Amino acid sequence: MIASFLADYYDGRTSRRHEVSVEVIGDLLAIRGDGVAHSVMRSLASVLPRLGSTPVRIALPDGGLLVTPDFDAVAASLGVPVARTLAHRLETHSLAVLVAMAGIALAGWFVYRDGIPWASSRIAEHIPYGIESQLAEDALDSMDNWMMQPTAIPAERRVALAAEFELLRAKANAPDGTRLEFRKAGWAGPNALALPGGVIVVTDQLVELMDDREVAAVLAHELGHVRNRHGTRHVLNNSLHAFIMMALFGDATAVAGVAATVPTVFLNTGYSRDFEREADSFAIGLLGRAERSPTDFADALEALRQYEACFDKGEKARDWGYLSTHPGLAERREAALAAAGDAGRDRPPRPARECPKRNDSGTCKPDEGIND
Amino acid sequence: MTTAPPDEPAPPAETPVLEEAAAAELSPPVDAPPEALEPTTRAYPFAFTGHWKEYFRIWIVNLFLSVITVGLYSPWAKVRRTRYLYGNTWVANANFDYHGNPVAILKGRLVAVAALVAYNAVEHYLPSFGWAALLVLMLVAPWLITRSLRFNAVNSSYRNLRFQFHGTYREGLLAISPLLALPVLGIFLADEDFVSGPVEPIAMAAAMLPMAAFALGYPYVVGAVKRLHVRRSAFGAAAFDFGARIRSFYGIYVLAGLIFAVCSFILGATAFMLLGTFDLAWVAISAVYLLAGAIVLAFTRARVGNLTFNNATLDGRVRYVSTLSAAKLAWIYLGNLLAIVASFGLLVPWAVTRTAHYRASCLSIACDGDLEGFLGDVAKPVGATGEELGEFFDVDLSL
Repeated sequence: MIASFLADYYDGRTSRRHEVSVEVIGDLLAIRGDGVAHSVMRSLASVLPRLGSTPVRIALPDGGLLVTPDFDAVAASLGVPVARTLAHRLETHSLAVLVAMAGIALAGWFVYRDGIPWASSRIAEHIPYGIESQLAEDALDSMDNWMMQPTAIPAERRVALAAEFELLRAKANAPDGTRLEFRKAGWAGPNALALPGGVIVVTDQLVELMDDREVAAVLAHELGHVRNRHGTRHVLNNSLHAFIMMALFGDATAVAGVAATVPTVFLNTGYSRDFEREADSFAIGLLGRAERSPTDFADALEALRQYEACFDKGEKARDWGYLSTHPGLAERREAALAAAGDAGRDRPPRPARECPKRNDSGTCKPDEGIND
Repeated sequence: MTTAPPDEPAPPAETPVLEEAAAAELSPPVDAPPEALEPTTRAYPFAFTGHWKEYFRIWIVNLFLSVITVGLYSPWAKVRRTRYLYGNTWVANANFDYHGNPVAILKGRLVAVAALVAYNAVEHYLPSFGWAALLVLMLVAPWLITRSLRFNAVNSSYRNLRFQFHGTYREGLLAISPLLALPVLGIFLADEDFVSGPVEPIAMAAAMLPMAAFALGYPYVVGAVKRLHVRRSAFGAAAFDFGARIRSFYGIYVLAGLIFAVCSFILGATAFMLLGTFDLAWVAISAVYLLAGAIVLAFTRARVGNLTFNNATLDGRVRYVSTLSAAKLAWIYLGNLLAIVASFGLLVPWAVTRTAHYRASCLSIACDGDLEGFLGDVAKPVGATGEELGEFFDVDLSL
């Protein structure tokens, strides 16, 4: 049995390297060579845990250090295997590596699909509505400054729609601050959005495209976003997600960290589609409670589909699937009709209207009907 | 972390900021100089000997342990990964070692998480206090930066001697001071009515002012933080010094801005031609931003790295020679980006070892005379309490 090995010795007082041989003699380690003649108690020399194939490091009681790449010689000389931690055992065990890969994939899937949305909605419950209202005012201000003009919808129509809205708001049990705003925004097409804090904005194009029942159905959908705290939950989802990615990949190079977040774009648009479905089913329920019919909502979606068809020049409507922030209009309409039961089945198709004129700039295409 | 300049996270993992070196090739120094710079000067190259398959095992197992412990294990995972990267970085026949205490790192992470949550909550829910919150964050930043640099230095060793960092809060604040203009201008402008008025050139200009101030100050801050980092570092009792001028950093960032503009334009035009429409525009914009970002990041990393290392000296006798190529580094980053996206992150270890290998291959130290002799003289500083402090009080804030 070899009872000695070669090593580099550093005494800890200077950075000089000494090439030495270490011999195990009874209870002593004798370190000799290159101007060193030194012995230490074998029991006081601690072999530091292994890490991959990096050299073995043996810490000596006086602050000295032995470094050698020869694991086998060290093990043979000391008569015991070089210390291995649990982490090292797992790292060198192929099955453990496979289990780790599978475990991460599985955990990742569940965390994204269920864990993050669950945590977001729990946290959102504890954030009072009121805290967001200032936010809505600021957002509306800046949109008014940069992207929207005052509405051109006649006052009597606005009053009628406001009455519809008030009825739905009360039935939805939405907070008092929730209110309706009309704006002209050529670039946005027929659209409606719920700002965090409960300001709901509808564009003139949407109001012109639909009758009052249909606009009310769209408002019911937006009230769903407000009631279900989708704005807050969206922010929380993104923060949790960014935090997890940073914790897991943050120590990689900056580019690697960013790149690792790319596939999760799909997951984020997935959350967005889930919110839309949630708001749709809220709208359907609300219309029922307000003695309206879910077919109103189906008609509103059909109006949007017809509008899109006007600009599609015969192309098939595009559905980007997992890259879309909204589910397809057809799918959502089906769901609304199914909820209406018999009324839905017997529903005559909504009469097509003539296509509206192109908006001012002439370049914008409508993309998503009802935005959040 | 939010506090460090984005393209320069404290000391890069595998790094060298600190070293020293020594020598001794196996053959006697006089006969076979590996590379003659001047008659009496010898170069000692760095080398990275880690292998991605081995690193992958370490990375994935420790990631798994972090996941099943809800992140509590992650400081231990970080220590293992860092030890692997340091342990495989060699110069002059010796490797580096990392001694970070996972408990200290865990404390640091908890503090960082609390700070980030607080900052994001203020920014989101009280936007009018956003600038004030940023100001507070920036006043805390020098403390975080100097603590973090110190933690990394005292927990890094070469040849059984630790590195040191002596930078103070005041020096850190001075280094990042131009960035304070961002929140200060923001607070000042937020009070003026014209900013929230209708769109006018003056309002636009006023709204851009804080960002412009940031852009103007940024290169100074990068240079000043590098200078602080190098000048106040030491290996054992041997101090580092830094000879570069801050204005050299401006040249790098002006070029970087131009490169970003040109790359974005070319990539954007290509994407538009390929797609033929504005549909999916946000996907194309993100992709263009990522690609152009990777190229610019590679450029600034390479140039700032070269400038910093080539102007750093140890004890007036040992110099660094860094020959990073921006083009090669960009090629590596783009490859990393593709591999990581396509593998859903699984190839992160491949990207890390590949980058470390290239960076090490571009770095060497040069010494007039006998490096081993010089190293033999570098002693442990008298009354070194740094490492003990490092164990108990310091926090590592790199997430």
